[in-house]
Amino acid sequence: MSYIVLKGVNYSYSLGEGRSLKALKNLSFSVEKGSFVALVGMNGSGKSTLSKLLNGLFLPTNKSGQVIVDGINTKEVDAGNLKDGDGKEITAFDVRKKVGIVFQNPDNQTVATIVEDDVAFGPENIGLPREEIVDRVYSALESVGMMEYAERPVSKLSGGQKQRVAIAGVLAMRPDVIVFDESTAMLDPLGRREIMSIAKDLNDQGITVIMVTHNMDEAALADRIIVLEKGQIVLDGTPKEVFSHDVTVYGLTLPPATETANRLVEKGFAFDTTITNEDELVEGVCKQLR
Amino acid sequence: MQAIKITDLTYIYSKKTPSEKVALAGVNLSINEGEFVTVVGHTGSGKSTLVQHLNGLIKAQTGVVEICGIPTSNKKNLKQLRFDVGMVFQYPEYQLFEDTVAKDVAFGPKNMKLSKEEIDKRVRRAMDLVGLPYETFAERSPFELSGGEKRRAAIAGVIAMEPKILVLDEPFAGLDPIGVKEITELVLKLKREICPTVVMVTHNMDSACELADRIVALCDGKIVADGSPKEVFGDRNLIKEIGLDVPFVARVVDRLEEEGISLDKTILTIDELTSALEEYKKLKGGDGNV
Repeated sequence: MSYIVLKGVNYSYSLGEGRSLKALKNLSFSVEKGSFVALVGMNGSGKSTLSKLLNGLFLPTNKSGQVIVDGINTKEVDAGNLKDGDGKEITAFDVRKKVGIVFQNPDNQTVATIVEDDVAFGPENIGLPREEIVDRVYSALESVGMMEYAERPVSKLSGGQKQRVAIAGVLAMRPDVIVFDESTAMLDPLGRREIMSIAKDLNDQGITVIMVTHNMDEAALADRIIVLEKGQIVLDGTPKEVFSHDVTVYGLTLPPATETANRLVEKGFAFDTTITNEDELVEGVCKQLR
Repeated sequence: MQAIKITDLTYIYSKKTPSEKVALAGVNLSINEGEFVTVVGHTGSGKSTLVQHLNGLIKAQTGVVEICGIPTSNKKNLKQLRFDVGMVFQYPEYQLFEDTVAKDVAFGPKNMKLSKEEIDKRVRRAMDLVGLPYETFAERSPFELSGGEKRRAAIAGVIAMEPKILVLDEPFAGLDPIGVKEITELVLKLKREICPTVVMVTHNMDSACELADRIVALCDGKIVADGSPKEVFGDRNLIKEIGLDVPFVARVVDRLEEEGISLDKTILTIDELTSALEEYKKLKGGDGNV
């Protein structure tokens, strides 16, 4: 089932003096519930703009463009046109409860000084009862392995730990989708691995993950990779499909395992399939050398 | 000639308080003019504290730091020291502040009290070197540039002071693959044309191996390895013990060894790996037709 549907979406930034920058052009695609999608493309390709459209933070700038999240059109939410079953207005909050975003900079995403207070910020804002808040905060901290840090000051955490707290803050809203907008870019290799493993776990539990990244090894872990260039989709498929193309023309690199396999093919090796990770590479090489 | 000489350097944060933390514990390090040294180590190993000593941003608590033979403790020389050691911090683009690129790049040379002609000459040279041609970019606002361009503009501001030693702290963080390649090439060009001695801090082991003649590994404030990339990464036990990431190629070499395919442990690049595998295949008699 499609959880997020984009239809003919344009997005332009106004640069003043009547000039504008078209970041997304006539973009249409949908994301299945429970999938793990990587969004890649060079700087300026429109990745981050796109991620902000997914939870209604941005709205399509063309009339006909639509972003529909779990059946809710983000534009109509903004116009105040939608009511739920009980006749209550559906607001931007309702969309953001469904789609949470974890951003790039670990230092820009925390609001409270103590870890548990920070995670409680979202649930408090939607007026949940205290017991429910406590329950959500601790289960969110548990999920990201930060339980023992609940009462610590956020400022004393490492970058990777701060990102885990940011993820917990999103989780406490019980979202269906989490967008990781280059959330690993500022972390060291250990921090990166931690975040990727949490993203994988959450996806296994049924949360839809959209991972915006420059790291092709991370993208190779997804079920599906969407490659953006100049605001348009140029490739869309499984890692094997995408990396069987020369993605360098879109300003990307191949995962090192794919690059190595390609060089080996030039030297007379042969692989049955497109190699996208270390395991496949080692296995493929062994087969030919034993 | 020794560009940098560090003797018995120890640095403790929040000394004599409960949160006291030893960042550097008796570091001895000499770097000759013309060397490219990469400093590696996991988060909290003391890398940033060490490089901040190089231009006197942090004063040595115990021990001596000499730059081109002059101790950084000599207050009279502090200004000269800042000109001699060009520091490019993490995310240097956050430090852009002027309304045009040319003015931003001119900020350093202006502080050096150079003549107007000399400032102008240096600004043009620095901008051309980093690939932001003066004619095109001089009057542009630094805030209108793309991420990669902003970073290059910030580096131009440091280069315009024509430092003898260039220090870069995580210059690749947050860049797309093209950006990483551009900055890699830029650093090598700057080393050739402006500052012969380069010290770079990075978590990116692949870049560390590709760029540096010499790798210095820190762990808990001490130098635990110092040698060529092949020497340092050849010692896998040490690398794992100090919590460093084993570069991709080295990981593949180790995995192949477990499968009974022994290659040289000092192989670090995809080129070396694919050539070694080609050789191995030949020795085994090609495609099994012995």
